[in-house]
Amino acid sequence: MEGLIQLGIFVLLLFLGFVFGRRAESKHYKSIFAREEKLRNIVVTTERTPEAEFERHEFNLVSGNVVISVDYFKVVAAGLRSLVGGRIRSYESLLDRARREAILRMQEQANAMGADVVINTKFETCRISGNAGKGIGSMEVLAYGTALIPPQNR
Amino acid sequence: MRLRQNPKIPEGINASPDNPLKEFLLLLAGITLSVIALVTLISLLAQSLAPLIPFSWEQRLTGLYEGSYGDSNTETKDKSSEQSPPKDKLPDSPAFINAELALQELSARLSNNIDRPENMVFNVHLIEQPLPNAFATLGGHIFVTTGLLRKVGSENALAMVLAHEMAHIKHRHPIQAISRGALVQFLMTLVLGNQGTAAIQSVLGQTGLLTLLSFNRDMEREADQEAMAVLVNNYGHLAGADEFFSQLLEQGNQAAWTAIFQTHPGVESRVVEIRKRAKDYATQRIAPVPLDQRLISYLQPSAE
Repeated sequence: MEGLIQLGIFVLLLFLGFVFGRRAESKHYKSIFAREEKLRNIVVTTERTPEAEFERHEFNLVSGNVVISVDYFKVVAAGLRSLVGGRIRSYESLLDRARREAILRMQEQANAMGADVVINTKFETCRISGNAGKGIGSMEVLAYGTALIPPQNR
Repeated sequence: MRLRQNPKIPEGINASPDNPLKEFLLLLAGITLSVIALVTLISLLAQSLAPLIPFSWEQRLTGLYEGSYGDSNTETKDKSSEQSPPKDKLPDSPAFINAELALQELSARLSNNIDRPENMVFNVHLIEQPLPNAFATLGGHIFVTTGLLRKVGSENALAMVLAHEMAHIKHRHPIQAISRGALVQFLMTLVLGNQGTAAIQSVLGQTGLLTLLSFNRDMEREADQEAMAVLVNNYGHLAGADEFFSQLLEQGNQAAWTAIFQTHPGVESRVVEIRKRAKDYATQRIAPVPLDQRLISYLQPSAE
């Protein structure tokens, strides 16, 4: 009986994780597509030094960070996957979303400063509290770069 | 050349557009099937290899705990504490010790009629517990609860229960069940040990223990056959042998009986089998042998 209750709780958590995780994901992707379209003119590159045409631009640090949590369904799916190996697809979409969201936030910051390009973009990630206790993990994705602001926009 | 706009990157490169449920179900099905296959394999191995473990090893193992056997049922003791027995029925009282002695003498008589290896000795213990139950464990130890004594009306019924548990030991069922349980538990720990899903682990562990630590139907049937042969050897008939199991069947849905129902599956077909066999010997009406006087005096309410 006790086992059945635990199984029930497990299945319920799995179901909730799947339904809400799936809904959050599709909503988030819609928002990502829309904002990427809107901020397409803030060019994000990885080149280290500004080109000649930006010589008179002001520069400033811009950054965007996101903290994401894994849902229960994804944890269990990844757990099963870890037994046999292969791509953990349930985590891939999560990290894809986090990375793009971090860039978007960085772009929004650059946009607010009046910049038209962000160079030397870099990413960093870290796990929050080392995911102690083997519980549901969360991680941070940080995108940062140098925003170049044209003199007339200052 | 400078970009005027961020390029539009096609979707589905970094993240797959597939529904994750499909992958999940596929994985779950595959892993469940292989775990079932492994458990079946382990069960078969335990069943065929565990009886090869020398009985003396079992005895040596349980010998380490001999002294503490009386208190081994701490879990069930909690329940029984609600209706604590009167002073002269406590496990240390002379009445209790005499009743246990009577049980041991009965089992000694029965064990003369069972075909067993030289070194196989049966140790019968009486435990103070209102739930009617009897079980056999490693090392030839048999436990009978005082609740069971209250439910049997004749020595034959008690002998049937005792002979049944002895047959389990003779066929090495306890060591099979425990080997199987331990191996499955080990497998579960190996498979699920290093991932964060504690829930799966406890669920699978619990169901595993529940189904694997009790004897299966075949074991019960085997023990019944053996027990009936012992009773026929000892008494020459099977009258009263089905008494306890018939009672079990009639009152099966009462809470007090669930414990023994869980550990003894398929009672219905077993009663039918015992009754069928009993008919072969019942040429005239035979009265079952009454219980030993020491057992009766233990069960009777105290005079004071």
